Amino acid sequence: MASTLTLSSKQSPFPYAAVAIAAYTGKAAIVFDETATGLSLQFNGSTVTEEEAVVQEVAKEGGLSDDSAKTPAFFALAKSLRTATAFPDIVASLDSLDDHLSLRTFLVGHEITGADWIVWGSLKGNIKAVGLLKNNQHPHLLRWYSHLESLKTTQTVLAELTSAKATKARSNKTAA
Amino acid sequence: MSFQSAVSKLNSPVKDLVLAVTRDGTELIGEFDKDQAEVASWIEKTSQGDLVAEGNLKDLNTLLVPRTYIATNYLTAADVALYGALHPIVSRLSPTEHYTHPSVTRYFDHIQYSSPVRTSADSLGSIFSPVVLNIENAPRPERKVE
Repeated sequence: MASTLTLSSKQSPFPYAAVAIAAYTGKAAIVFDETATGLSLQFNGSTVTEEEAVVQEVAKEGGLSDDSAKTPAFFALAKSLRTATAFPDIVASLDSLDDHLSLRTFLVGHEITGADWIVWGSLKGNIKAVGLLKNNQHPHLLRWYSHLESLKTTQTVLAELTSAKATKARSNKTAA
Repeated sequence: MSFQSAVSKLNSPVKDLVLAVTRDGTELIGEFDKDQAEVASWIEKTSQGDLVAEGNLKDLNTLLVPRTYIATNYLTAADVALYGALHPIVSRLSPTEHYTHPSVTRYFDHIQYSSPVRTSADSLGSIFSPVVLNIENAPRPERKVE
């Protein structure tokens, strides 16, 4: 594995898409470094730090990219959704995703792509969006969201995140 | 119920498709005992016919709303059986009927284009040829006002 994804477990909003796609593809080792100031992916001598770029790079390495004209729109939607706080804006995004997923298993094509991971990660990191999603007004989006979350690799990396946070809490305690 | 005895209850050509995709029951039958029991149980339900009866499409749609795959969270023989049994029904429904059972349509379209299913389906001739579902031109679903 030539690539390494370094991040801190306390980053907020947490880059769920980057760690989930790294775990899903197995194309980047995930290192929780509590001194890291941000996300960074090192590969072939290059470094990218923006989550969109990380997801795109790992998707490319893992064969999850596609050349659909729709993909950039999902990356843009994910970016605005990550920090959206106004309920009407979040609801409008969830409505449009739910409509799209009513007749589609994944966002683009017939398999999971980088677009799925970037949108899933933004939703996962936005507590208001997750709350609205659990209201059961978006059944198709919830099916898709739960599926990505239920995957073995996602479950494993989320458990690693929990344990990294616990280790950090313990070491803080010892220091204090 | 074992995989083999569940599959033996299916009729041809669905049985042939399931055996082809699973390489005679060696692949896609479920990763652990619990998954294997689920897979066999859904194949048996499919073989009984009620699950895929045209009059019960609404119930099947409701069942599929929260599911990506029928038995587990990955493609198994149970999906192949259900896809195969649905093929004659879905292929004769009108576009409007496809849109009014969105989760059946979405599920069917996903399974019909998954690569293990497509490869074996094509090897059986034109019985399981792809059904054109015209997803791109679907009307926007009506949203219930909260």
